[in-house]
Amino acid sequence: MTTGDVLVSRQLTVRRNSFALRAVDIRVPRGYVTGLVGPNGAGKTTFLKSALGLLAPTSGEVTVLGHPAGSAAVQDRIGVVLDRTTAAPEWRVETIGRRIGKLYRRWDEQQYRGLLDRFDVPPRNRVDGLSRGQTVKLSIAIALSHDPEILVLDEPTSGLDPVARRDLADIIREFMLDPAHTTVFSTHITSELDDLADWIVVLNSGTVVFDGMLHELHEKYAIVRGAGPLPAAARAAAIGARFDAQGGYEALIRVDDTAKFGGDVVIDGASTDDIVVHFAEHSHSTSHPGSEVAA
Amino acid sequence: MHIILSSTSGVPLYEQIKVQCRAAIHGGDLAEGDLLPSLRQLAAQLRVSLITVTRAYNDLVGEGLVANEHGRGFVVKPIDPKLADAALTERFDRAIEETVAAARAARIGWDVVKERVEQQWNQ
Repeated sequence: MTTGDVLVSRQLTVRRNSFALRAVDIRVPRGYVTGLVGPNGAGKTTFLKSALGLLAPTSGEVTVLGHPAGSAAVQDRIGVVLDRTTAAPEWRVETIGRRIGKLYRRWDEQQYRGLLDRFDVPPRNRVDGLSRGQTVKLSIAIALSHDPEILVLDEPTSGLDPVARRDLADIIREFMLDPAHTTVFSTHITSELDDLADWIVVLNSGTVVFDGMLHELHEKYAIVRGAGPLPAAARAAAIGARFDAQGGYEALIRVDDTAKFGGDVVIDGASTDDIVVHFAEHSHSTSHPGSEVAA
Repeated sequence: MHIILSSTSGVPLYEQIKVQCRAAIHGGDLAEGDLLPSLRQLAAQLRVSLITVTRAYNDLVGEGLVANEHGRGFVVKPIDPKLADAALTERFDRAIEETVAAARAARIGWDVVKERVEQQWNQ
C-alpha cells in the first residue's frame, strides 16, 4: 500500500469577512477516504477550495502531492466535484469532452461516455436540463475521466435522494479499489461517514475539533446526562451543555473527564452527530468561537 | 466464504467480519494458503470503509490465523490443531458464561437450564 499524505495544510488561516479557518493542520492520507464533517460555516468548503488553489491562504500553506495548492503540476491529478459543475449550463452533455478534455493530459473520452451511460446521465441533454442527482453524476464523470489520483468532493450528497447517495458511495468505493487513489469529501450528514470514511476531520468554527479514525472519535467522547445542577468542577469539561426546565443537563464530554461528573449521571456513547452538534453549541455560547476547543 | 453484516445487531462491523472470517478458517471453508478477499474488494463488496476491514484483518493477524504477505495479501496460516481446539474451547466457555448470565438475568433456575440444554443436545 502506498503511504504518505497527499494533501497537507500547515497552520492554514483563511480570512474572508471573518475567519473561515484558523491555523488548521489537516492531513489527508493516501489510499484512504477522508471525510470532513461539521455544521455549515465550519470551514469545510474553505478548506477544500484552498486545497484546490481556488482560495489563497491568509497565512500558512497547503500542499498537494508535495506541490503548493493550485500548481499546474497537480491540477491534472485531481478530480474535482464542487457544488457547481465546470460545464456551462447551455452545453450539451455529450460535447463536454470535446470542450474541456483538452485541458487535461489524460482525458479519456471513452471512459467519459461509459460513465455517462453507467450513471444514466442523458448525453443529449443540456447541462441545465439535468436533475441535481444527474448534475452530481455528470461532475463525477468529468472528474473521473482524466484518471485522477485524488478525488475531491464538496458536499456531493446534498440534494441527492437515498438511491443516488448510495450510487455515489459505490462509485467512490470503486475508485478506491486502486490503493494509489485518495478521496476527500465534505458532508454535514454524519451518517454518511460511518460506512465510507476511513479518516474523519471534524471542523467547527474554523478549527479542527478532531482528526483521526471514526472509532477513535467514539472512544474519545461520551454524552453525560444528569438530573441535578452541573457540578462547578465539571463545568469546563462539559462541551455544549444543554439544560432542561428542571435543571437537568446533557453535555458532550471527553471520556477521560467522566469522573468529574460524579456518580449520579448517565454516560452514553456519543454519535458523530452528538459531537458535531455539541461543539457547535459550545462555540455559540462562548465569545471566541472555537478557540477553547482548538486543542 | 460469504460474509453477511448486520447494521443493527449492536456488534461492531469489524467484529462481525473478524468472527465470520475466523469461523470460515476454523470451519475449513478457508484452507491453509488461501487468500482472504483483498481489503479494498471486501470493503467495496460489503459497503464498509477500508479501515473497518483493515481492523478485522489486523486482529486476525494478531490471533495468528492469517499473515499479511507483502505483495500477495492476507494468507491463511497453517491451522495449528491445538490453536483451533483452544479457539473452539474458548468459544464453548464463552457460550456457557453467556448462558449462565442470561439465565440469572431471567431468573431461570438450574433445573430449567439443565433441561433446556438436554433438549438442545438431543435435537
